Amino acid sequence: MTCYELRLTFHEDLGATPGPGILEHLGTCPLCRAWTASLAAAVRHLETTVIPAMPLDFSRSLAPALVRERRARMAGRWRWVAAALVVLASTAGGWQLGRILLVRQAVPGSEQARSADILPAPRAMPGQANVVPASLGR
Amino acid sequence: MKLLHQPRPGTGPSRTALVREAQRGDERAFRALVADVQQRLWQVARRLAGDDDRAADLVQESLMRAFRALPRLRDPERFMPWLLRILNHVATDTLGARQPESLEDLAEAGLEPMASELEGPEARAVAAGTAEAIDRALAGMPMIYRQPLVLRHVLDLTYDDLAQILDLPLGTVKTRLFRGREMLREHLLREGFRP
Repeated sequence: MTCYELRLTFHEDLGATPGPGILEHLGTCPLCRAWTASLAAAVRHLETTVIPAMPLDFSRSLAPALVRERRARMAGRWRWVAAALVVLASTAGGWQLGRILLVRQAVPGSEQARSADILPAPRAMPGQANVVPASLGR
Repeated sequence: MKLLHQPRPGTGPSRTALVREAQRGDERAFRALVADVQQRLWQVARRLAGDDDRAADLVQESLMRAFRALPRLRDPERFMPWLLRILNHVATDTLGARQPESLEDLAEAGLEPMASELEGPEARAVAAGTAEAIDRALAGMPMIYRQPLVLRHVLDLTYDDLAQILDLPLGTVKTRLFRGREMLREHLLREGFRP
């Protein structure tokens, strides 16, 4: 086993009992002995050194802060829905109003026509000539 | 992935059940889920960030992003790996952009004995020194090496877990672990830690 192979194998099986090939190489190579010892110690430090505990005030405030954020986001979403509904309703109302106005503009005298529908047409009185205005008779 | 899927201790609902309830908008499940994962998330974040303030920001931002995306999580059983993945994304976004501090600048002169050789207040002081040296070593290495190193040696995850969480091929994970451990070893030697 070469030094390079030993290092690859040692990394791969870190924490496992070294195999006979590794032990044999370490018995004859002081460089690799020093390397494996320092690597194992570095990893042991990383694994065993105590990680500072989560600050208590942060731990207590974390869930409430997340819930508040979630509620604010949901409220924001509903505000958008409400705003969208208002815009939709205004658009629909405006469109309907515009349609009514357009119909009225498109039929001039529609008011008179409507009153003509309601009131009976004037009849000529007996003995009265049905005079056609001169302007229309031509 | 033993640590990622182990059931919560006690008689309460499983994490998967909590995730499902939280997905339906149950606030109590949401709070219970935060309580369930926050310590583990903190351990990783604290090691990645190197100090309490940045670790707290990492944890909070990761949980916020996770809970925003929670309704879209298809497999509630994969909640923890999914959450760790988010944490790593946040860490890359927020910490990864920072230039790692130079290992040479951080190295301190003098030899430090290992804590196990001492007892009492001296041992505590050395242990604190070791913790700070670990933080400095991690702060000095790029995030791509820090992440697999922390996940592997703090959470005891397998190579396969790392590959999934970091979204990397297995070979890349092993290479990065190799490089990360080497950086850690060299830094501790420079700071005077001896095996």
